[in-house]
Amino acid sequence: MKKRMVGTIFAVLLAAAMTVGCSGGADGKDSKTEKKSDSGSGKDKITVGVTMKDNSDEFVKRIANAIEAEGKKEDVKILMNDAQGDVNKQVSDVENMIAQGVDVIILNAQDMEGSSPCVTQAKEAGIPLIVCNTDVSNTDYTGFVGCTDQESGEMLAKWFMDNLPKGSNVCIIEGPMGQAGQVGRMEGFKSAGMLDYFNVLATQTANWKRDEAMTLAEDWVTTYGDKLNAIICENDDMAMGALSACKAAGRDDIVIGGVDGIDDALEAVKNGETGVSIVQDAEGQGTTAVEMAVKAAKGEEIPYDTRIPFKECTSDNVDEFLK
Amino acid sequence: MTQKKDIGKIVRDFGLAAVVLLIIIVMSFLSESFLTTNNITNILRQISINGVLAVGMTFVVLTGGIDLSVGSLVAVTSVICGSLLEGEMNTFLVCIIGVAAAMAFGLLNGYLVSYVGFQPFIATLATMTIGRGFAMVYADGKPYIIKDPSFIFIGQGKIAGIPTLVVILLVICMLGIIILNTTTFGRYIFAIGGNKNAARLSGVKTKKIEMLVYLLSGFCCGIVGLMLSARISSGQPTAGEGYELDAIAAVAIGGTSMNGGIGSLRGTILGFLILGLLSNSMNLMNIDSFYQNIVKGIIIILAVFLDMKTKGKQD
Repeated sequence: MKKRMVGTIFAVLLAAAMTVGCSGGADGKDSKTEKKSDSGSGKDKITVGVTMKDNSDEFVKRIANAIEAEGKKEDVKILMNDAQGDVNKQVSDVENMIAQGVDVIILNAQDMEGSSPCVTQAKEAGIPLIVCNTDVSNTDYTGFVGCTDQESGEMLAKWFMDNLPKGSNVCIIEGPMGQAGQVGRMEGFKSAGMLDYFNVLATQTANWKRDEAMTLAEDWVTTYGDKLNAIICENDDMAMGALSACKAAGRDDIVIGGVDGIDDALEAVKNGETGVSIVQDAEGQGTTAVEMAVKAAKGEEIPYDTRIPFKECTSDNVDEFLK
Repeated sequence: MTQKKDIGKIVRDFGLAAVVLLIIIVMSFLSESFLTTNNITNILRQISINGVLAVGMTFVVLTGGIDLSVGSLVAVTSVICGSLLEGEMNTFLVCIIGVAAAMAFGLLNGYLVSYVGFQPFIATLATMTIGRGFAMVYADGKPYIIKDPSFIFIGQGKIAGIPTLVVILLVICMLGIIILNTTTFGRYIFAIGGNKNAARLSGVKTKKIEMLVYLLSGFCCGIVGLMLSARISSGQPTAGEGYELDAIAAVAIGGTSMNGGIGSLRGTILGFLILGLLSNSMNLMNIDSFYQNIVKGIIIILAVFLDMKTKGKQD
């Protein structure tokens, strides 16, 4: 027993030592060979470290793709990291990128508070950092590219207030509590005055998930019955879940709307099944973030706050969005 | 002795059934929409997904194993079906391929556990991450839109007034009970969970049985993959995240010992019924999802406590 434990500890230590040794060695080699090849080509290729909050999210993935594409166009090296929805991984990703000596970092924050250390670390290491798409509470970064979640919340709220009578009964489906998207969009609902304008029957989170939103909507349709006029969703995936539930219950009178402009949401708007989708310009955000990052890496001045405007997609203009 | 054991089991299941009844009675007073046909159909539809996974999980847990990969395997089936349906393949064929893919992962689980000798927790942890990664890569992180009406029928249609999802759940539960209680395969599962060495020495092909159990769990994941994708009309790489925990919770509440050998599908069925009823009740009463998590955890503690007490009586 004792022997086995000693053996295990030894093995773990050995493995750890090997990992450290190898990664150190590999890094050293890497940077050397890179410098060589760079000096060979005559100029230093800028390395842009990117940390995305969760590439399994369709919308985030679109920004990531735009970043990769723009990186190729600008001829810079993109180091793409995916935090997979884990703020802890995002912080370590940034630590690793700083250790690797990237020239500039693009941060797509997983958590408004939790991702703040990323900003501090980059600042301390003297590496410019561009925040892309999501809000982060530590604003000590080089520049921001995107649109705030609050704006999308406000736009969604305004559309519903314009299209439904005052005092209508609504339910709200939120994103994961505490995530920038949820906090900001809820803030937008508040600042637009929507929470007072309507009679809010229920507010629950479905964690951006379609199946969870569907379950909620099913339960609400039964509980509130004909009283329920609208389901307001903080993203489109959840709006699609709510739509399926309403369709199954034969309730085409319930007005549904969301944010993001994913493919089936646009189609639902076109078919008149949902009222609105607030569309973020994913490509615009990714492309502009890389442009700003490259400028910052070269030491040029960049604007602190670059806004990529939202677009409201309704039955009037849906064809523009359907490519 | 066996009679006493049976009495203990019956007392326990009676306790669970009483909990189910209690929730129903309390809720029918608290919410007037609770006992409507619509809501009952909702509850049944909502438990069907976790129910099918929990049936598969029960088999695995009875052998003393665990299957953490179920949520990821659901996603594997989901994206494969989504992509094949976008290519307008024959619906039936799509279902077969989708379920087969999840079963292939189940087979890998079984092989690693029984023939290579991995701990079930580690083996299925590995396939859980591989499966999720595979689904992400395969779908490039994006969901597929499913439009095929005959496929969607699985998730949104009705057979003789009963939602197809519920019919599938009933069939799987019945098949599970038949396999577990009337076949030699079922008896061997209990034998392996009770004492693997004794089972092997008395001539049971333990490796083969264990492998089949994980294959069976994979099959259930595949079926759930079809059910979920059809329910939400999309093939999603993020589908089924965290489902393994709900399935394990249902099994634990149902009184199946995590060490294997003791338990029943009857208990598991009551387990996922309780979980589904609770979640629906709390949604109807608009209770914050954070509290819902706390309640779920307390129920698991109470159920296992009840389990220990009734088992204590046997001795």
